Order: sequence, then structure tokens, then C-alpha cells
Amino acid sequence: MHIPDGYLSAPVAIGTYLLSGAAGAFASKKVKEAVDEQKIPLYGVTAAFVFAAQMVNFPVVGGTSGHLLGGLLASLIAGPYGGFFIMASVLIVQALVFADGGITALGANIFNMAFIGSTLVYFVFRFLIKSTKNETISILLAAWLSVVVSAIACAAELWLSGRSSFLVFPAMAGIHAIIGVGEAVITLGIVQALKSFRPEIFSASTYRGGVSSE
Amino acid sequence: MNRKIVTAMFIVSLLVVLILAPFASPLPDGLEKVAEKLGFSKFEKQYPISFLFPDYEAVFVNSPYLKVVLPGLFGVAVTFAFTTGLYLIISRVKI
Repeated sequence: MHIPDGYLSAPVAIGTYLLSGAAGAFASKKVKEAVDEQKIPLYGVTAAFVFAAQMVNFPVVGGTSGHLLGGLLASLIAGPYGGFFIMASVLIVQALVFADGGITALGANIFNMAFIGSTLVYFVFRFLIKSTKNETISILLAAWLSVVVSAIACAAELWLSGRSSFLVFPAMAGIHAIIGVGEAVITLGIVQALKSFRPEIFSASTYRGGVSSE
Repeated sequence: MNRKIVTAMFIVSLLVVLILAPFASPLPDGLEKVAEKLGFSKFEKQYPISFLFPDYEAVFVNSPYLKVVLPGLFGVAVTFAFTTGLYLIISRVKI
């Protein structure tokens, strides 16, 4: 759901740039406080993997395709603020090198897929694992929500830009509710594969309050 | 331990590009489909600002496999370098 150039009105484009800038400033402060420099290559390679996985569109229904976004995966590995920079980096490279997502829409795309899809969804995951004590369900649900809520934010930006009627909300939420199932299943598969190989790459605090990883 | 997992994940990323990306579905994604259906895809613009591989396509090669794979491999390397650099700047630069 990378928004191209031309879809957003100037106020929405500027407003989302400001919001993403503020989120980035806050996240960089948090990362600075706690970063383990030894883990920086791991974050780099997580971004590289997310980039690669985003190239692999899978068909869903009605002549539509989807691909992994990877926001939850990124924040499970790097924490909510580290996840922000992994996703933002991917989106910046995609916009600047591959014309995937507009330059003027970069603020909105970072807001939707990095801030909502990775940072906020991390806290949803933490809430879910504390209340359900079930890691599988928490990952599936949080990954699904990351796609659906990002899509609703994207719909709001298009609607506020005057590009579409209110119908954009059900349309975006509906198709992404289906694409989100793919996100959920793929995220769970990758997390389980990585955990069986190297459980310690998931930030220790991530599963605090959970049951399975400590 | 870090070096091993980083190497392994890097190789997996390259394999995703080499093996899976050529089979990616060409169908429109969720937003593109909605834009067609609701009629706002006409607003799309593409600014010609030095994109190396617009739409992940290497126009300078003929092989359909390399058209997809070359930009993908390049993107994996650039994303790794960009993110690592960004993290180093964030963690080391004082404001």
C-alpha cells in the first residue's frame, strides 16, 4: 500500500511528513538511549530481508495481490523504536531508488507502515501476549492488525486529500483484511524459524510478560 | 553469534530475490486495486528524480529473469547499507 505521488493533497502530505518527523525524532532519542551497537548489522539485515520479502507479491482474491510488510517482524527483532527505523529505511530506499511509493507521499508511507505498522503494533503485541499468554495468537493477530490499521490510515489520508469518497475506508480495510492473513501467517513462520535457529535475536524485553521465550 | 545470523539472514534475503521474486504476482496490490475501482488512480504521478530502477525493472537487460533479479539484489545491498549507516549515525551522533 505504498502511496504514489499525486494521491495526497499538500496539507496531508506535509502533515504526515511532520508526524513522521516527530515520530522519528522521538524514536531516535529512544534508540540512542539503549542501542547495542553489536546488534546494528542484525537490524541492517532485517531491513534487507524486509525489502526482499516485499518484492514477493502473492495473489489474493479478485485479481489483487499482496506482500509482506514486515512491521511486526521488524519491531520484534529491534524493539518498537528500532523497528521504526528498519521500516522507514526500507520505504526510503524503495521511494528513492525504485519509485515505489512517492517522494511527496514518503511521510505518509512512513507514518502508515513504520509508525503504525511497526511501532504502535509492537505495543499491541505486548498487550496481546500479556493478556492471552499465547505467543502464536498474539503474533497472528498483531501482524494482521498491522496491515489492516495501516490500510485504514492510508484510507484516511486519501479521503482527507479529497481523492476519494468515504468508500475508500471499507474498500481498503476489506482487501487488507485478506492480505493481512498472509502477513500473519508469513510473520509467524519467520519468527518461528528464527527462534528455532537463534532465539536470542528477539529483544529480551519483547516477550516480558509472555510465556514462551524466557 | 551475531555474525553467523547476520550472514545467514543476508543469504536468505538474496535467495528470496533469486528464487521467489521472479515468481511474484504481477496483479495490482490492495491500494492499486482500490484506486482503480474508486477511480482515483488517474491522480498518480511519477517524478523523474534519478530513479535507478523504476518499478524494480532493469530496463538495460533483456533477460526477464535478470530484469527483476538485478534490481532486487541491488536493493538488498543498498537497504542493508542504508539501515546500518542510519543506525550508526543515530547511535553515535550527539545532538
